[in-house]
Amino acid sequence: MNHSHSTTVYAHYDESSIPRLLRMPAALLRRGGAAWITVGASVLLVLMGTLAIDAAESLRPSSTHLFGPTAMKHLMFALLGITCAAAVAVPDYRKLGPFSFIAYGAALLLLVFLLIPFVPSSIVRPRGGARGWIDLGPVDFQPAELMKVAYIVTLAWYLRYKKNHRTIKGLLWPALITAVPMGLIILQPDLGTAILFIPALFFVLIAAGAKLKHLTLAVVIAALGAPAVYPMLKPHQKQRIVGLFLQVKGDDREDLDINMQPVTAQRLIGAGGVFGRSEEETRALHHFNALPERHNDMVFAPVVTRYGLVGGVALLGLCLAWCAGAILTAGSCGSPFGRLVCVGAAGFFFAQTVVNVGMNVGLLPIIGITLPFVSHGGSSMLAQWLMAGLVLGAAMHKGGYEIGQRLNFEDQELD
Amino acid sequence: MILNFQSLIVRRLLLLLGIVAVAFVPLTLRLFALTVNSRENLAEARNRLERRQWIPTVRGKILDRKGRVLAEDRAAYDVAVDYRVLSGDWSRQQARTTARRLAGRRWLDMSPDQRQQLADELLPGFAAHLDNAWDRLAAALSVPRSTLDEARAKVVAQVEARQRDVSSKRLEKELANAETSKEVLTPEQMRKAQKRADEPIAEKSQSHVLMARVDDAPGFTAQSLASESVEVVLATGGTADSLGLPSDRTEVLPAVPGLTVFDSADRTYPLERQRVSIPRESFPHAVSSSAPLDIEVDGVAIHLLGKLRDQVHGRATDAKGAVQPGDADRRREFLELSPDFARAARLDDGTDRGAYWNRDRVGDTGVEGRHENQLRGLRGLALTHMDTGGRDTVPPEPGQDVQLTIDAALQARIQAIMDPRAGLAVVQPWHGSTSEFPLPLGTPLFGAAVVVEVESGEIVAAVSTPTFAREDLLRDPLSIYRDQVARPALNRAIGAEYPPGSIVKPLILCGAVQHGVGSLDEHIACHGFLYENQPNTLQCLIWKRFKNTHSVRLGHDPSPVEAIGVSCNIYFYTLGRRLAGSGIRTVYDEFGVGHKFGLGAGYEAPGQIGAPGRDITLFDATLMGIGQGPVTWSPLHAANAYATLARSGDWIQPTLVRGGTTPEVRRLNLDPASVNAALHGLAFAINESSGSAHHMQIDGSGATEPIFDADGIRIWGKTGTAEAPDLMVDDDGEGPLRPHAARVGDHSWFVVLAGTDRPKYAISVIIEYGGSGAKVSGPIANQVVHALQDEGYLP
Repeated sequence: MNHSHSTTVYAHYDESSIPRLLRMPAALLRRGGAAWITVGASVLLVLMGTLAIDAAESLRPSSTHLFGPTAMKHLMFALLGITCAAAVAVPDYRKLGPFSFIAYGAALLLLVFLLIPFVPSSIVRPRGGARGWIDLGPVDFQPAELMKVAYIVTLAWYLRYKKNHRTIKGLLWPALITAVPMGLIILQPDLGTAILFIPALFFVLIAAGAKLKHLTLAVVIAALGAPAVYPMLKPHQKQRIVGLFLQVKGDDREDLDINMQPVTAQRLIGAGGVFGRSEEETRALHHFNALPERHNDMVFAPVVTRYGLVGGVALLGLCLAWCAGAILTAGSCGSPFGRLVCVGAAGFFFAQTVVNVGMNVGLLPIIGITLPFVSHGGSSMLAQWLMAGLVLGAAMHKGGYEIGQRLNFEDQELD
Repeated sequence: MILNFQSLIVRRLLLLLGIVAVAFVPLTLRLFALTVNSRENLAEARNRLERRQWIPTVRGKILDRKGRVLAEDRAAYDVAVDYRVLSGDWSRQQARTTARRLAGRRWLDMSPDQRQQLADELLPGFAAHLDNAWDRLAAALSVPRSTLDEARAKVVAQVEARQRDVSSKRLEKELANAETSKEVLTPEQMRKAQKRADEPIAEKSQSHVLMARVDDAPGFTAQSLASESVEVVLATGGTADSLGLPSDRTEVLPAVPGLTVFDSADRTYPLERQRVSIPRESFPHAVSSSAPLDIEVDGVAIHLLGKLRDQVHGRATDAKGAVQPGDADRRREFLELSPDFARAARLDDGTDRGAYWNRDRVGDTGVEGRHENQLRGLRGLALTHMDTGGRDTVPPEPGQDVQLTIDAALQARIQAIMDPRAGLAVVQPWHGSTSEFPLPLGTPLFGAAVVVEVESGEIVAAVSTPTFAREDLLRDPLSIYRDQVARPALNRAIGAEYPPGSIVKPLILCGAVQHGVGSLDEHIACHGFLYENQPNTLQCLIWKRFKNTHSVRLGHDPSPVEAIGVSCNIYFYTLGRRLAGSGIRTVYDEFGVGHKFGLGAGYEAPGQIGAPGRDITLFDATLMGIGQGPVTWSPLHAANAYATLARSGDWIQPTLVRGGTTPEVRRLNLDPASVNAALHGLAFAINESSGSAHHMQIDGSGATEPIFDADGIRIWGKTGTAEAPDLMVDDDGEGPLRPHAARVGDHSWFVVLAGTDRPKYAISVIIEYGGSGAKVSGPIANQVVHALQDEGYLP
């Protein structure tokens, strides 16, 4: 980067040309860059989610509030999430780095706590057989969501200057950092959330420069080993996979039983057509079709019922924009730590979106995963905003001090 | 930012962007596929916004020719109770939930034992309530409590048996799965598998019909009982005291928990049981009396009416591997063939309002079966739009009535005449059986009588004996099908075929003249037997009995009229031989033998000309000239053939149901002179003292009495004594016992035309293995003529 080049850039953004009142927002906008895409997508997704949850929640619109109670709660959590996001974006995130292992350890402890037998059900109340939530009175808290944030920061902090992950041996530590929380979450059991750690890890490793052949090898081994896992699955998980096969084959015998949820979801998605249905009809359709988890894991269905193909594509576009914003921010971020955090956040977001939408449209078996920012769920919302905050923080604090040397592989043999 | 493709970082980030973008492609495509062209999904999603409540319809009536009701629906109710109440589990569940409510916040602090104890203390109260509930229901239905308890035990036993069956099948399946995946189940897994297998089946949370088809009044009482509730005071015990809870609690409980009463309909056949009074003055003097015979007949026209079944039949494959259509298939076919009806039957979304549902009543046999589509009716539908609260109603359409040509009173009267209690259809001394193994006197004889109106071809009566009571059919159908001699289920009037015997002689005369092999001027010599040197084959009855001949008896060779009148076999052997195979086949075929009539009342016997797969030889044709050999027909064929003669050769398709297709009419092109001669022959047989149907001897004294004695009625008639194969009965089916002859001898036929100036009704009577046509069926035919008078059909 030469001096004269940067002068021209700055000349274009000459502060004196901007009215005084707007100078501060303009500076923020400029400094955030692509991260604002991510933040903007987050806000729009929250709004879509609120409208969809409200429509799916009750037959008639709320007479006292703008939205129904669940949608209102959703908005409240979003506001809380935005506050948290601001809290991590404003200070220099790089100062948080050294605390990452502490956060990781604390999250692990919470995960272990969930698994301790004899903890009274007033504290750990199993939902659908999974011990994943801690009862905090008015709200429930899901430590696995916190773990996702702690995990990204820790993995990024660990890998920020490493080079040895270009060897197989060097991949062991990242694998271990991933495996421990994953294992604890599987024990809850919450296979859906646990699975998300794998794409996040892969995203971070790809960005950190691990050799693609190692990663490909891992994928091939996993693909070959997958059938061996099948007998270990729980009966309901097996059923869902069998159900998906039946659906693909066009066998409708199980439509009222194990395939009830995906078939209903697809029916309601189809009902949206190209431009969606009126709010009134969306309410009626969802009320009487009684899709389970429609404000939560299956929230994509009410979105499409209400806004149709157009709304669905818009939602997918926003998700794509979210990931793109995070990855572009990573590209513009000088700090390897910040870069890897952005990519890790994108990895989680990407995996979660694809799996959630995939199960809604019937391409993947049903597995309990929320659609980020759109699904109702406090812990998920907070975690998601924390990640958005980290991305924004990475964009805001590009320059200035940097611990140690910059990592680049340009001098090394390319893979 | 400047993209530096040399930089690994940039390349890697681009790779990630690429992965993300590519992964979204299938999602977008799938979303596209689901939403574009989504009419079906939308329709199905919208379907759930409506609640459909079907309104039952009423099956059409079956009426007789005078509009009397033969079959109609009667309002009735099915009384059903939830399985948990039937099994008593309801008390335990209620005790538990009530205990929880009673304890309130204390519940969380109580130990599992305490909770159970509290529930157990409440249990007797609920059990007592249930006990009272059964008494209430029994009183409402006015049945003894024990009846209800038996019905309850039966349902519980059935459901438990089904549970055992399902559980063991489920467990087998799990074990088989474990086996295929080579898993060895630990005791823990085994226990879990057992637990899964023992999951209650759906029937355990459903209502079950305890009393079906309950009458209007008790049904109504039960229905109001279903919405009643009572206050019950439940006493608690020590646990409640120790917890400081109140010692009793008043609960408002349904008077009979889990009771539902729903509309159902019952089919009644009001004229199947009738009391008939038969005057006996005109009976043969051995059984005549000035006092009329009061007799109750049951199962009147039951063969024609048929029955309903409570089970819908699906498509099935029979023993030969052929696919038998199910009720739904037949319905679909009918709707396709009748587009107008289908339009009325279908709702906008194509749902057939008359579609078959499980437990529907379905016409099974007889008119009920054949006219199922007309009788069935269409359900109504109350459609509630649940989002708006709006309601659309499509009213139910009752089934169409079906009117028969039968007169129910005449039918009952003829059935009474043919009832063994009347004394005509039992073995009597005057029958003078010539059989080698005569049946003991008083043995019931079975047969049929058919009355056809000459002008219209309508069947006014078609009686088959013995009949059976509908209750017996419902209670123990096997009792009806087991008797291989009486065969009550067989409709002998239209569904059985017999050798016709001498009653065909007038038809043969007309046929022979038409075919140019007979002449009305021709006298044929009767030597007693046909072939000069074979006196023991092809004989005349007069030769066989009295070694006499008609030529000698009459003093000249018989003319055609005389040949019919005295029933000369030789004359008609000769005509049969001249007609030969093809000629005699045409004669019988023209009179309808070998064809069904399509009456729409169950199985019809077509009758047969010639043995299947064999040509009619000259010998066969000779025999067929007197109605023997390879030819059979039903009593309806006989009556219809005589009606055709009475119409001078206009064959009209007989009808049993009014308002169907126009009956087929065929002109047989018989020589009017030959028909005239045939009718003269029939009048000769009745009216001339040498006629075969003129008189009969009642006892050995030589005294005779006329067979027909109705005042002012002209009779044309012919006897028939048809040789028949023995009735073989195998008492043990496929068992070691050989079949034995249960009935031997001749069938007794009598066919008459009755009217005033010209024939108005054709009557055929057959008594299986009765012997002489004149002595056995003759008096019955005479009584049928009297019955027609009594019912106003003849003056």
